[in-house]
Amino acid sequence: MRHPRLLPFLMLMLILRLPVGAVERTLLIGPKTIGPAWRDRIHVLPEQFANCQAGDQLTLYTRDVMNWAQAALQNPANGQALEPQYAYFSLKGPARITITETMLPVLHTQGLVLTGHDYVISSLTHIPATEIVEQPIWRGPASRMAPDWSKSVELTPRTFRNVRVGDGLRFYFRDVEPGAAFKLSNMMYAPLEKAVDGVGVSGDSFTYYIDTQARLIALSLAAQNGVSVRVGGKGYTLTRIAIVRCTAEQDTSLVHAQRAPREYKLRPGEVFHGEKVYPCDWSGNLSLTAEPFQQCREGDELLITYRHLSTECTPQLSLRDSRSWADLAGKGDAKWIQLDGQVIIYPLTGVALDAVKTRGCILSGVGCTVTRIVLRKK
Amino acid sequence: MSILSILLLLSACAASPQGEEPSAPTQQPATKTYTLTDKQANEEAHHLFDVLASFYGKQIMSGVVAKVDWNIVEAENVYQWTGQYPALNVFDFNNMHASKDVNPNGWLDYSDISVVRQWHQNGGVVGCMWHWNMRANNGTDMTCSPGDQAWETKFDCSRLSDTNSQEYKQVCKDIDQVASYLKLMQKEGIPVIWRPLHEAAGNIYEYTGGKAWFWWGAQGAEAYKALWRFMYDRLVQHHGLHNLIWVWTSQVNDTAFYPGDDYVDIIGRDNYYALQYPLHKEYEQLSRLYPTKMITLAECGNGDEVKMSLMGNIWQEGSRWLWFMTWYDYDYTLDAGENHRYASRSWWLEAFTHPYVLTRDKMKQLLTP
Repeated sequence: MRHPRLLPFLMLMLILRLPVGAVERTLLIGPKTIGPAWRDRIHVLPEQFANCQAGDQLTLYTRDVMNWAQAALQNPANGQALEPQYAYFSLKGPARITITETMLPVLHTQGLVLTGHDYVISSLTHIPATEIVEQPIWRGPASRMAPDWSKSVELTPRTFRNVRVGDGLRFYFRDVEPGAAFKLSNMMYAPLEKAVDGVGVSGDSFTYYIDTQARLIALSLAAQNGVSVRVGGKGYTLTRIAIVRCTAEQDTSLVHAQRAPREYKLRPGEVFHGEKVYPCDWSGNLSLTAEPFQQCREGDELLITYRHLSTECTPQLSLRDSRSWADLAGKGDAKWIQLDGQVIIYPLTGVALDAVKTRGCILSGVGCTVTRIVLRKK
Repeated sequence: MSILSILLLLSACAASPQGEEPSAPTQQPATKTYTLTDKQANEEAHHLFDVLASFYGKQIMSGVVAKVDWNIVEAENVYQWTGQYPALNVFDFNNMHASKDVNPNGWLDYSDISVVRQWHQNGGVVGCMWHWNMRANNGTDMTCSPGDQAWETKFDCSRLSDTNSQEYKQVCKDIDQVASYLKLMQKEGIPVIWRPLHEAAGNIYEYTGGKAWFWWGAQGAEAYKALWRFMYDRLVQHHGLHNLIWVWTSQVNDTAFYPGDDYVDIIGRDNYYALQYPLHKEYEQLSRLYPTKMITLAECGNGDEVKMSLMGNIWQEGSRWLWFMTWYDYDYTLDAGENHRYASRSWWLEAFTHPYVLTRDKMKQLLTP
């Protein structure tokens, strides 16, 4: 055998199905539900980003996305957005994030937190920059978009003849003013869809991804018989347009991907189930809305289950009014419940009952992990 | 008050709604009369107001707002879900600057009241509100958000008292434009539930540092009340608009912003933490604060944190709002099914199972002699 080490290696690759070329590598496997009111988050660990470089692309795949959903990418150490544009953004199909020089050290040392509201994470993937290629399809002349939206650039159907599902159309700008907006319209000046109907833009480009067959069809229908698709908007100069395409294959091994914890569906009477950690630095707070308490009556009880009592501080919990932070029972300063067992039984009466039914409450404390809160009827 | 209205009021008081469901005790007095502030209110306004008063505390009128401005899109959604229209459709004059009668480049035409006329002719109740947009600081956009940022406005309504000021002239110009549209409705015998200058106090009384989120509240209570009264006088006295039922929207703790019993017909409350228990508390509190006025849930829907309680639970808890109006979901299409941002298909289906919830058809029966 001429290459005695190569054959076993290739056989090993086949067995493990490890990719030998560039792939879209899965970093996180869901599902992970990001529910309402920014309550949910998941920390993608730094080791997942060990092979990432600036310019690479992260893609967030989602499902069950509400129309009003927003996502955010945060630094796990301080909760700040990884970049200003990721403080909050709408989800209309897969979200593609380009790793910047600023983001990279955070990803390598901290990872990132995915949060937001009203969507479900399916997966997060990584594509090397070398696998994202651009093909120019329009090179000008540069065209300035007037403040009154009256200007547009007309593109013939031929411009888009090589576009495929999964491609992005990247529109490059210069001289972008505050309040600049982008619009992509059909030959009758009607916007192709809301995502490109006066969407605010900044920076030097905007990418419109043809993620579905429907979008590709709409694009082809927008320009027919030589009549144009129109690129318009206000407050920027269009300089060129390119097709952006990922050439990496999907990584199907998933061996190294981080998996989201199994999702748990609350049972009747359960208000919370999970692992809410209360560190000794007083940073732990769990906010409950008034919604679960609407049918409560005098004498109902909250059963709060906890474990992992710390030895470095005095484990204790208190229930607070959501608005005033006062003790939930309305007796001024917080009443601290010392933890020495497994369950707190908190009666909902009088002021406390009124407070939880009106505003919910906050469970504050130190030195333990709360795993379950149940509402027990009298 | 016309003879017709009196007869209707008496008959409504005599009959009790079919199948009324048991509920928690409410604080409604056994007999109470409500009157319009406009002493020259026309027959249509009186009739509508009297019908509202006739079922207040016993039934609740269903309502939606237009999708953005001048349509019945949300009402059509409700119809597609339930087979019934809501009784009330509220239109918004927020895009007046883009109305084709004043702006040749505009995209809608408030002077074409076809959609309003048809809604009224089909038995619906017409409401109008006004996200009153002013020119933003950047000189280009229109906004009602106060502030120093480019996209906000520094419009100062406290300068209204100076009749030579730009602010006075702008206020007059805008009110006169709105008046032209309301007059078209008056001319066709359409009474209008008119709810301008809403949520003025914002969060001022909710927490330390709370602020008004609309320019009409940003200059404080006295400037706001002056603006309200100015608008009232200009529309009613100057323009002779007597088809209006005036709704003032309270933030509950903002009594300082109340324009006064002589300028307000109905008290409204907007709530997106619309759970049955806190809703009932607010209803009771507003009823105590404004004992001579009917109280209504002028805007409602799912909030960021909570889903609105079902109407059956809201009623069971004891709230007796005069009507409710759910907010629009800009991105909603019928193929999204249940996922409406503010009030879903299943919420509306549940609401209409209750005989005390008035649909458009039921309201039409009440309004028809």
